Amino acid sequence: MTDKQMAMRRLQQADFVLLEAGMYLNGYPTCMEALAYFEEAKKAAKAARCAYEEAYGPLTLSSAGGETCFDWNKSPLPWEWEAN
Amino acid sequence: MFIYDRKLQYPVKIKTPNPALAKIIISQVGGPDGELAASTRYLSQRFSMPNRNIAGMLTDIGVEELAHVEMISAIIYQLTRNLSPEEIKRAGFDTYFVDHTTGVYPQAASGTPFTTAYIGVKGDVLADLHEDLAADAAITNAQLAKSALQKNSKYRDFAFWMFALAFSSLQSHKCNRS
Repeated sequence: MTDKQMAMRRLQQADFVLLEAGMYLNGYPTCMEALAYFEEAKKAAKAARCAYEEAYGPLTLSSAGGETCFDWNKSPLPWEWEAN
Repeated sequence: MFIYDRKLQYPVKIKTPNPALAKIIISQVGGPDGELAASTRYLSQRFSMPNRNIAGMLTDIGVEELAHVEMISAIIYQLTRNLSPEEIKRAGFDTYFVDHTTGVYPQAASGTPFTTAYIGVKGDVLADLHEDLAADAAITNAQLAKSALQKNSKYRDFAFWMFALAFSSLQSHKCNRS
């Protein structure tokens, strides 16, 4: 597995943990344990996203840009074989 | 408002294209118990939910279902890469190919186009939540049918893909997380 694939896997895992914790909190909004877990998950997801985007390019429009050429459409799209 | 996150929820990397499999798995995109039906159901029902918690939850779930539509569509896309005319014919993919080539068209395995006749939106909290439960039960039944199918070696590949990829990918992801 390449470094890029590893970085993406880490982000996918972290985002999934965050999403599931959020779903749980929808049902149990005052669960202190879950709230603490959510805070940790949020930090991990943010770190994994920053690590990926700094090395391999933007994942959301708000992190896209470029000095002379827009970088939003430079990387393969998520469903491409090469992107996974 | 929706913001696109340029990644799949779970990676899809299919080494060997298999159009015969694609013909079956397409049902998980646009079939009666597919991801598009699930997503459309939740995202349409949420507006008339009297309880903000439920409306918010339906929103979150409906959005996640959209990510599943994208994942399963990616599976179809990759299963149908670089096909020769012979492969298309041999796999029985010709009946799909004649209308859609290798485009990902939301349809059931039978060829029936996706339709919102698969879902119910009544604007009534009990009716809509009952419909959600019924849809969930249909998916659970489908999973049981597919695990029964899996015991028959002839269909093991189909069953494995349908069961493992379409439904359990998120579960395995949960188990794999560190």
